[in-house]
Amino acid sequence: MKPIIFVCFFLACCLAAFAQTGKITGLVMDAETKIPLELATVSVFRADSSLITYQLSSKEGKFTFDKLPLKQKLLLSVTYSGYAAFQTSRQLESAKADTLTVFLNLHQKDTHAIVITIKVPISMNGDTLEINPAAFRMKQDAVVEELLNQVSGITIWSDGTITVNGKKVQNLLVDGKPFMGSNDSRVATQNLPKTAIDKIQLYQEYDRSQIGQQTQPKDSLLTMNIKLKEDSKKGYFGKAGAGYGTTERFESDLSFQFYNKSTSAGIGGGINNINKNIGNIQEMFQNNTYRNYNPNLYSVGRFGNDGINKNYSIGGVFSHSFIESANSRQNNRLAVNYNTSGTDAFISDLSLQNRTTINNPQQIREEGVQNNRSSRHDVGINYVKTNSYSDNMDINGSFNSSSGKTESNRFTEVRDSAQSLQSTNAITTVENRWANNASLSMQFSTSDYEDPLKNFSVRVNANSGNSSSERDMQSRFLSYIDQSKNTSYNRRYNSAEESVGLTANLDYSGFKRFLLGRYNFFGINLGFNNLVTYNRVAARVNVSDFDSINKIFVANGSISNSNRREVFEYSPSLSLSKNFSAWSQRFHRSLYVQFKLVQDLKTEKNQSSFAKRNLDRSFQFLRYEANMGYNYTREEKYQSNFSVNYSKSFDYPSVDQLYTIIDDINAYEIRVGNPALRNWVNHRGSFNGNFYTQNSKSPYSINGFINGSYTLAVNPVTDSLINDPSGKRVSYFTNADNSKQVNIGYGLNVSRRFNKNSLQLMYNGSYGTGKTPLYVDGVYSLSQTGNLFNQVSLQFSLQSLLIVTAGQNFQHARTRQTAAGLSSFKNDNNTTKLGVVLNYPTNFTFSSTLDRIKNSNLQEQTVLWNAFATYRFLKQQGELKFSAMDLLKQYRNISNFANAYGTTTRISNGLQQYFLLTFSYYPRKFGKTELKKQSAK
Amino acid sequence: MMKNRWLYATLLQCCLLFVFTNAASQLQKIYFNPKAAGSEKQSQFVDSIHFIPLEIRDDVRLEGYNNITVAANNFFVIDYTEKLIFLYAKDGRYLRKINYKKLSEFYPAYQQNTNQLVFFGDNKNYSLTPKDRIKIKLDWDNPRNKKYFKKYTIDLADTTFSIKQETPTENDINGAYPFFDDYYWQGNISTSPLYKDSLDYEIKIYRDKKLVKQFFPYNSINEPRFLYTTEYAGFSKAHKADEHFVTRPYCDTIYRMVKDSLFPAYQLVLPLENSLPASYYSRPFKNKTDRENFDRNNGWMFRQVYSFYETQGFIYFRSGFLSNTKAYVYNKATKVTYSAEKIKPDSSQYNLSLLGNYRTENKDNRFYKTQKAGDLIAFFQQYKTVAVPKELEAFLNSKPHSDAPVIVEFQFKN
Repeated sequence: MKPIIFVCFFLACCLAAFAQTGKITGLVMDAETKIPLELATVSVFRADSSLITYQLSSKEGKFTFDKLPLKQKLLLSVTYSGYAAFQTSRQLESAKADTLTVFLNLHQKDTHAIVITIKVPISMNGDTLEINPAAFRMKQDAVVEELLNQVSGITIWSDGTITVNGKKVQNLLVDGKPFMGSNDSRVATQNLPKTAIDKIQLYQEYDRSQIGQQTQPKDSLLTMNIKLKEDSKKGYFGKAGAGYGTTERFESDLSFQFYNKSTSAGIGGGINNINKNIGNIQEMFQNNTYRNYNPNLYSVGRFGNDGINKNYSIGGVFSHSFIESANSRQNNRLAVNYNTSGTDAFISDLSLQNRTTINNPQQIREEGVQNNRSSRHDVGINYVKTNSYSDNMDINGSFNSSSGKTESNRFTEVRDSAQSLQSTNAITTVENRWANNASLSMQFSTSDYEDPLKNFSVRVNANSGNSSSERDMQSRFLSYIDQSKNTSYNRRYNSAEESVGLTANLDYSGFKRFLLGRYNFFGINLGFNNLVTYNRVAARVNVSDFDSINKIFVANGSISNSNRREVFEYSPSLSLSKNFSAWSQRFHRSLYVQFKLVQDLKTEKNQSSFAKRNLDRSFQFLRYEANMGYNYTREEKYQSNFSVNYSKSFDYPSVDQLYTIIDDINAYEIRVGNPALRNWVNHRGSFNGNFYTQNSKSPYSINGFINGSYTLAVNPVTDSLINDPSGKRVSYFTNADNSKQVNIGYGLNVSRRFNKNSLQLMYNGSYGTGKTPLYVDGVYSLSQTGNLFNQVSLQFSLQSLLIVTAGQNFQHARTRQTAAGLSSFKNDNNTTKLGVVLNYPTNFTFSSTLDRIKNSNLQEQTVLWNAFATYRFLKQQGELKFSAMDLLKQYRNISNFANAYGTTTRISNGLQQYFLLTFSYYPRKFGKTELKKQSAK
Repeated sequence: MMKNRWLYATLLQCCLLFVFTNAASQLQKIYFNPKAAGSEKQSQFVDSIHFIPLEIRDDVRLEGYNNITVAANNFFVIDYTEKLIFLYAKDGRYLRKINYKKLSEFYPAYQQNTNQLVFFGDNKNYSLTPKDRIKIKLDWDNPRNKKYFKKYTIDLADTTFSIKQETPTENDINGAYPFFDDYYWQGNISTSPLYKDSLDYEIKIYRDKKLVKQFFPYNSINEPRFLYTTEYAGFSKAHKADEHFVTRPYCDTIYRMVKDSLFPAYQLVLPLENSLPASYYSRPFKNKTDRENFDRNNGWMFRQVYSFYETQGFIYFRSGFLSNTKAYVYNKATKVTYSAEKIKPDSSQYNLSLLGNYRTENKDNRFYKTQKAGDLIAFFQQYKTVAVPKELEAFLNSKPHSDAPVIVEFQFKN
């Protein structure tokens, strides 16, 4: 905790330093009548015309500016529609308030008058809030995100989320379209320069996913639309970088994106051996943005990843809009992407497990070495067509092909509480695998107020896939208690599987009109939904054992099998829902209640080469669910939403649980089926609440959430585990009385602005606990598990100059058994995180992160300290970056988890100290250079 | 039969054109540029400000969206947010608070001919689509259609001021409003394939449920400018008895209607960027979405004048555009149009902004507006040299709460 205290002290000092500021108060009045003028725009600029702050005068014509810089020339501008603008300068010498009375004269028609063009920072245009970038004087290469940071009411949280007066921006569009076909706002806000922007619009947009449904106030989406200047509607930007360092570490990144009014395209790629994730093209675009004032300190070598991974990826995206539209009412666009990627990973790990057995808890040590090579190709296509907010057509197609090879060796030792060796198991695996998957989904929704009979929404999803693998496994189990149970196998598995799936969902929201005509049924809405699902999986597994005498593989008839499973499901449902709402000048509140009745009709046919697995069965379940949502909005203060849900569902045991094909190649995981298994019932209750302030005048922005669920399973399928005296473990499926699971998640974010500086506190956590019945060696026990996770971080931004972050993660896991003779375990893992970014002097950025990890199962703590120095040159388009990773050379990958049988601490290999020098070039051009120069002049 | 009707209509149009051509010499043009509408001091337009303080009651507060209506012998302030009606005598005496939360889906409207406050609207037991409404309109005198609507009235002559349920009349269902004497006018305009007869008129005059006059024929099945929308002709009472100003959608001419005779009076002349293209009148939209998108993308193109009040020196009108609506004041002498929201008050008029976009009631050439007492208290505290009007003295001395309503009566300058 000491570093946290230090950071808090440091932040307090910074804040104290800021207390030495000045203040201007004043009054705006009509020069002739001396009446106060409300809503006059009062702006304060520095001598270089950069905007410091602004506000609108109060009803009494008053304005007050706090925390203005001392001993600097300040320009004050007052504008009011219909009046001549007023401008003056001031220099504050002390913290004492300077007062000013401004008399504005009506604008007279005077041909000799100088025309003053005033750029108003923020204005309302109908129901749209418009931000005028021209009113904010910033450095030439500032990007949109830096601009948004200067606008009061807008908060950019440290995780990239943007909120406006507390409400989250859910859609970010550029000229009415997703930028580069991406849903991530950062691609636009961290690349587009402020100089290319005409205006930024903020408005509420109808959520098309609610077409035909009863809408609630919280259903609208806050949308940010960035309108490009006419001469900047064409441009390109990107990054090409390469770096090489000690211990043969290297990285290379490439992203290049081009756009014009209707088309955008981009390519991206990368290769590295520092565990940096470059899985898909959108991720590459996000991690290679131009912004440098707050670099992503975690898009670097991933020390938390298992093993040493060599990753490569290259791909491209193309998106085209077939219509020209400046808003998102109409869409007709196509996006296609292709990506090929691969990994060559070397992982060695050590797992230390505490495992309960009757009267003799086991300590298990498992060591493994694994080499994974995989590659894949992904093709995606997305077509969206909408004519208005009342219709939506969305088609998605994807195809992927993958192959991989795994070679692994694992050795497990099981000891009793007295550290006596009970058994060992060694497994060597070599596997080659191939898979192809294709899917096509289509959604079409339409609603017509004039003809409700035509209101419907249909979703269809089809997928098919095939996969095959060849696996050679050698296992050798040695029992130190009963040597007659020793086993040794050299087994080959040839598997092939083909699957086809089809899901269709028809939601007919014109059902009420169809059934009742013009009758309104007390305002209750009726919904009729039909869900049809068909799935078929055909699999064939040929297993053979090596005959060491004849030196040939001999077919194993007890495991080799073919299986074909077909499941057809039809679930019609009827829902009744009603909205209640009330509003006044100060508040708005609404209550939504829904009750849903669902009939599940299922038939399953399983054909197998084992006669006992041939099943032909059908099920009928009548289930129900209820939902209730409440929204309360206090105008200009806060908004809160709360919802509760209850649902009941049924499930039935699968053929693999009833008639398991028993394979004992892993002596610690032998599974045996149970033909007597019964169906079980799940009762699930959940709640969700969120709160956010929406007071545009407050320097604070606060939001929080809490959600939770409770699940009660009656007659669930669980394990009856038999620890064989030899050391083998055999699990039998069986029904128990009931199991319970509780999960709670919560979070609170607070942001405080100090002029252009901000302080952010982000806190979130989760708690999960469950009672799972099981049998261990014939003894009934309730296994109670608990996982608690809390994470808190504090970030202070001193304009764009300095960003300091401090955080702490707490993790606690425990497992407890109710039966006498079984053992309980727990472990803790705490991480302290510190980060700092200094953008000084000009063109230089220094940053550093420090993570200190303490684990209860390890005696020594681990510290990961990384540091970076970046220099931008070549007109801000060249970047040289030096990375020093794991300066203390002591990092280890450690993770904890708990399950019904105990707790596990896992330590795996990973990156170790290295130094890397990277050069990157950012090609950028927005609009025609000539036009830019002209506008600059 | 259809051909004959169109022939009659064409002949009627020719006659009207002849009348209008003669009348055109009287047609005055108002040059009006919405973007450049000017700003000015309010005292240049308004005088004769008079206050009518309303009896102070703790439970009467002007907090939400509200409006004032001037009845024959009463004022009533309607708080639309809280669904309350505060009823006063003309001298400001408090009479009654009427809570209409149970009728919250209705908007109360004053009917001068019956001196009643009328709540008329849909019966919430039924859900009507625009197509249903056209079917009902086509069969407007069918008694079975009455079940789709509900009507409640408050008789202002009855001192109990109780809300009474009434059976909707054929005029209510047909959207016909009292005009003069026993005449009614109807100005609903819509197109639909449901209409068997393609000939319809924008304005119809009824007497004793019988159609007596109709103006401006249009094709009720496929008239391009009315496809996929419902529009209304506008009637504004002029200060002369039996005289109205009539405005039509997508038409820049303002008509004067004396009894049931119609004459063109003014024509708005707008810049090209605010004028509808010729194709708007000839080329039909493909669908409703196409129309909505055009309206959204051309928000400042002219749609219709909604209300029109003429005084000796000024014209106060509200102009609707495809996605915007604003109020303007036209100075007849200088021929300059001002934006109502840019007209600024001064201390000579107690800093009261009287010409906004909404909340102004006109009756007998006088305008009425509600004002919070707190605004007046704050003004007189700040401007101690300004004399408190006599009619306000007792009211302000009785220390009203800041949200207590006061009625401001004013006139345009002559």
